[in-house]
Formats: sequence, C-alpha cells, structure tokens
Amino acid sequence: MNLTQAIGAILSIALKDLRLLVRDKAAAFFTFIFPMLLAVFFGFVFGGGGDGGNLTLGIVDEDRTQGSGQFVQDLEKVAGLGVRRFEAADQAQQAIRRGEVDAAVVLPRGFADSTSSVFSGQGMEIKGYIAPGAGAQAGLLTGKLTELGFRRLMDSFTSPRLLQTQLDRARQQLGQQQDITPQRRGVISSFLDSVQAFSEDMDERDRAEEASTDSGEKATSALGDWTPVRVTLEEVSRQGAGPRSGFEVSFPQGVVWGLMGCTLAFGISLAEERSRGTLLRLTTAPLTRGHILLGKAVGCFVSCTLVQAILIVMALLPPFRVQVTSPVAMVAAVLLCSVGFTGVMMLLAGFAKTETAAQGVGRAVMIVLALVGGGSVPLFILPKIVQTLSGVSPFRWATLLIEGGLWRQFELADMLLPGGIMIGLGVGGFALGAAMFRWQE
Amino acid sequence: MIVLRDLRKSFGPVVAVSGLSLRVEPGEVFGLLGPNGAGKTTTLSMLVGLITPDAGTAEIEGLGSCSRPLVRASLGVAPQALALYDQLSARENLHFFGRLYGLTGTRLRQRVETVLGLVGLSDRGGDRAGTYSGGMKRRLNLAAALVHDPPVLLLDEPTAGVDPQSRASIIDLVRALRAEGRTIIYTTHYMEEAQKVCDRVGIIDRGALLDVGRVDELIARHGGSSVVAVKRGDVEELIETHDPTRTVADVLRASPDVESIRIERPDLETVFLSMTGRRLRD
Ligand SMILES: Nc1ncnc2c1ncn2[C@@H]1O[C@H](COP(=O)(O)OP(=O)(O)O)[C@@H](O)[C@H]1O
Ligand SMILES: [Mg+2]
Repeated sequence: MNLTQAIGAILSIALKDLRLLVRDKAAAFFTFIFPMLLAVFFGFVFGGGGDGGNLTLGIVDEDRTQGSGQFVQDLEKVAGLGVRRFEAADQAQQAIRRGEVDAAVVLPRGFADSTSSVFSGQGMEIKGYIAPGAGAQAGLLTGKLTELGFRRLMDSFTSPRLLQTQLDRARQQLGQQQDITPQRRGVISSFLDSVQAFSEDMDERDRAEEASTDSGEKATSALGDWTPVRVTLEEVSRQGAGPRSGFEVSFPQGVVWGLMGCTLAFGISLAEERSRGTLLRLTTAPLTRGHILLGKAVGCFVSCTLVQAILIVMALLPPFRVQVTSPVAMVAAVLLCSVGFTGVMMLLAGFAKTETAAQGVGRAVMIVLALVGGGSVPLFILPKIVQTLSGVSPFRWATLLIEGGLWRQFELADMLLPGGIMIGLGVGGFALGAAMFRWQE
Repeated sequence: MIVLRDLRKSFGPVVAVSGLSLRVEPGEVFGLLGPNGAGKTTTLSMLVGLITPDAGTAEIEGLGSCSRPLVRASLGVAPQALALYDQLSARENLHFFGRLYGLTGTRLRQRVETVLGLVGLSDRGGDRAGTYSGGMKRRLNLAAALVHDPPVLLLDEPTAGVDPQSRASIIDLVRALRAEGRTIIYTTHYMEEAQKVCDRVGIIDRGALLDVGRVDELIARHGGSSVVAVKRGDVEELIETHDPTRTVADVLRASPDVESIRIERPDLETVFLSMTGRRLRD
C-alpha cells in the first residue's frame, strides 16, 4: 500500500465515521444541536447582548452646573445610548477596563460656560475614553455627541432667552475687546443685531418645534468647519476585561459541549467497532494499526473543527453579533482545540477497555471535566480556588483559547500556555491512548 | 499456498490452539470442522495476523506472514462475528471496505455491484444493514470479503445462524468461488456443509488437528462399518458390515418376512464420535 492509498484509506475511515456520527441521531444531537441550544439559551440568561450595537457611556460631570446637568439629561434621552454616571475620570476608565461601559466622557469644569459662549469660544471641549477595537462605537459616540452639541446650538436659536444671554455676553465681550478697530466692531455689532432679529423672526414661525438632527446638519453646512463640540477620544486598554455580551460567554460554553460530544462520539465509536467486530475487518485490511487510529483521529479532528466553526460563525450572526477581536487567534484557537481533543478522544478510547466503560465511566469523566472546565459556569466568575482546580480539565484551556479569540484579545504570548497544553494533549494523548488501545475484546 | 506450522495460543489457562500444523493447497476448499470452542476462530485469527501466536508460524507461501499489511491485501476475510456498520447501507458498507483495499472509482463501483449480485442483495443494496435479516447480514458479511476480489478466502462459519434458504445460497456461492480457482478455508461445526463443499477436511478439537483428508478417506479411516437395520415385527436387528449392499442382499435372501430394511452409512459425525467419544453438536 503506497502513501496515496494509505491517505485514501485514512480519509475514508474519517469520512465513514463522520457519516456514522451524523446518522446516529443521539450522538449528532449532543455534538451539534445541543451546544447551539446551550449557547443561545445561556447567552440570554447571561444578559444577552441582542440590543445590537448599543453603547453604554460613562459620564463624569466635573462641571456640576445646571448646564452640564442639562447636557447629561440630553444624553440620557439619546436612543441607543445607555448612560452611567461616575464621580471621577479614573473610575470611568476602570469601568471601561472591566468592560462595564464601552466609553466614557468627561465634562470639564467650565463646560456650561463654554456652551453659553458658542459664538466667541471654541465650542465645548469634551474629553472621552473608549475601549480599543470599538472603532465603530467610537464613531458612533463622536457622532452622537456632535449631534447633541448642534442640538444645543439650535436650542439657542429657538430659545430666545438663551440666545439673548448669549448675545448679551457676546456684546459684553465685544466691548471688552480692545484690539478691534471701530469699523470692525460696528460690523460685528450689526451682525449680532441681525442674528437677534433673525432669531425673533424664526421664533415666531416654529417656536414649538424642536430642533432636529436635520437642522443640525444644515447648521453644519452654514457654519463651515466650525463644530460646537470637539471630542477627543483616548483608548483605554481592556486588559483582563470581561465579555461584552452574554453570548461571548455562552458560545465558548457551547464549544466546550461540542468538543465533548465529538470526543465521546469518536472515543465510544472505537470501543464500539471493537465490540461489534468491524474493527476486526479494519485490522485484516492491508492497513497498519496506525493508519486505522489516524483515520479515527482525522475524523475526530474534522468534527471538532466543524462543531467549533458552526458555533463561532453562528455567534457572529444576528442577533448574537459576537465580535471576534482577533481572527487569527480565533482560527488558531479552534485548530489547537481540535488537536487537543483528538488526543483526549484517543485517551478515552485507550483507557476504556469495553464499550460499556466508554459509555459509562468515559461519559461521566468527560462530563465532570466539562463542568469544571467552564461548561456550566463561566470560568471568570468562579472562585479563584475553583479556577485553579479547573486547570486539570482540558476544557478549561479550550475555553480560555476560544475566549482569547473572542474577547480576551489573546496575543501570541497569551496563547503559548493553553495552546501548548492542547498540542501536548493532542500528541501525548494520541501516543498514550494508541499504546493502551486494546485491539480485541 | 497457506502453511501453518506448529501454531500455539493460550488465553491464560485456556489452551485455544495447541501445536497445529496444516497445509492448504492452491485452489482447494479446506474445511476446518470442529465443535464450538475447538480453536477454529483462534487459528484463523493467527493466520490473518490479528492474534500473535505464542509459538509457530502462519503464512501465505511466497508472500510471507499476514502480519505484514501488504500480504493481507490478497486475503478476503468473513469473520464469524458479523462485521458490518448497521447505520450504513449494504452499498456504503461494501464501498467503504473496498476503499480500504485501495479500490477507487469505476472499478470500485463495479466490484460493489458484482458482489451484491453474487450474494443476491442487488435490490436491497440501498437499505441499511441494520434493517437486514440474519441471513441477509451473513450474505453481506461474505460479500464484504469478496469486494476486492482476493485469491484467498477465509470464511469463519459463514452460515452461522441463517435460514435454510440463505444457507443453500451461501453454499452454492462457495462452490462457485471454488470453481473460479480461489483458495478457501471454510470453518464450520456442521458436518453436512463440510461434506458438501470441502475438498479436504481437517477435524479439529480442543485446539488440536486430529486428522486431515478427503471426506471419503476420513470415513474410511475412522468411520468404521456401516449398519444395516432390519425390522421384523417389533424387533429391529442391527448388523455391522463393511459391505452394506451385500449384507442387504444376504438378509433378504435368508428371510422373506422382513418388514423394513435401512442402511446407516458412517459420516463425519461418526468420524468425530469415534475419534473423540463426543458428538460435534451437543
Ligand atoms: N480472547 C480470548 N480470551 C480468552 N479465551 C479465548 C479468547 N478467544 C478464544 N478463547 C477460548 O479459546 C478457545 C477456542 O476458541 P475459538 O477459537 O473461538 O473456538 P471456535 O472458533 O472453534 O469455536 C475457547 O475455549 C475460547 O473460550
Ligand atoms: Mg469460532
């Protein structure tokens, strides 16, 4: 048997097993359907995230004036924006790091003052913080704040009292300014007068009508480059941050159960082939025993990869919209998990000397490992001691890798330990399991 | 063709095969006849390299031991325990087993259809093996041994647990395979089958080969005399003889009041009984 034939035989064993897995309704359910149901169900239990692109904004009001208070109230009314107040800027930054809010905005001292001098000042200065990787959200935030600034500007036009104060203040500042030629002073003064007249005229027509975003956009074109709100955003790294939605927790859990399903299905299928006699036919074919086990391993690897890919692709779609922060880390995580759990499958097949043992003890051990490894309660909310204990479970490292691709933002260095464990499990598990495997009843 | 030399195998205290030597000639059907537990399956397992013998060798002449994968390519094995995937159709089963032997494409498809036809399952080929009757599974089990067209066949109790019809068709098939010139080892505990299909038979009991020869040779050596049973009224007289025809003629000439007369010729059952003191099937 040459190499091509050997590969052909290995692949046909893998293909045959995938076909058997799909045809075994119970195994197919626990391998493919159950993990999906679990991911969706627990995703909602953990608070979902189905509000799609919703932004939670932290607000620090350092100005503490009526004007700034009004601004915060305005923000609270913006659709699709959740607002949480913080006492100080560092508290808000902390909240970003913990993943509690997506961004934070600081209204500096003198904020209200600068709003009421829109004509003479530089507009409001808002300092913001945002988590990295939230590019779309950053744009959204700047847009919302600018919109809000324009709305306030338009409020000035439509609210005579507010405009009057602003005009008065502008005239007062004009009077204090020494380095202006009388000619110029006259031009500005008459401009202010005409603004006042224009506003009184407009005021009569649509006094009750609230300024809309629409009018804000018109104002932009009328006012050129000038913006009433200047937002400067600074990134706050989300190291050790928590997941952004319930689905970022539940889909890794789904992956755990999917991996468990594959591992059990293939481990048991080897024991089954032995007890049902088909293994005998495989061993009397012109294959080495290595070929046969490799065929099983390839089948297990493919189905592990398949179940993970299905779950992760599903997670990306609405209404779950889980974000993969690092696609490369994600793909690497999936492949590493498949390698690791193929080794776990061989270990199971090697240790379970009978089909009954594989079905009974094997299943029980795998379920316990899956439970402590993050399959039932997310690891990051477990007590430290349990988190440490769960290190014995290969599922824990798989969870870590998958979460690394989703929200832990793993880089190469972060992947070394869990990835190394997966490769070790894959190679070591295969070697040990194969050596211990019994070929006859 | 197939040579077994002083094969020995024990499982703990149980001696399954104790010093078995055997030579099977090319193109013959060799029967291994013995009761359950005689060591037939263990012998075949050592031949195909599934079990490592404690001592002795088993090989295909000119090719070597079957522990080498390449040598196994020329073997077709129908295990005693049905070895089929219940969730796959007969066609899918055969297709898969054919792939393991390196068959692909049109040749594979042709072989699958050919062997399905040989075992009379063409019209049920698309059904899952799990839905088959015992007889049909047995026939599919045999088909799986034939799909790669091997010159040597090892059939371990190919008629175990089947209905009389399937049994007859399996026996016909084995005869047809023999006519094609294949070398076949056929194990059974049914002496009728051994008598019907085998060129030579080896009597095996408790792991040892007691004697080997053509059926008539074995009977002549160990069968003893025939018995002529003569019934007169309520009395039946049993006469042992080496020439039953002559004895019948003598009896009829001597006494005309015979009600019935019956000849019991020795068969392999008698051979086994005389060699072991036990019957083949208990
Ligand atoms: N794997 C095994 N472990 C222990 N004993 C075995 C094993 N295989 C066969 N035996 C014993 O070896 C003897 C021969 O068995 P076997 O070759 O299956 O006989 P046969 O095929 O002629 O019925 C029997 O006593 C059987 O119980
Ligand atoms: Mg047997």
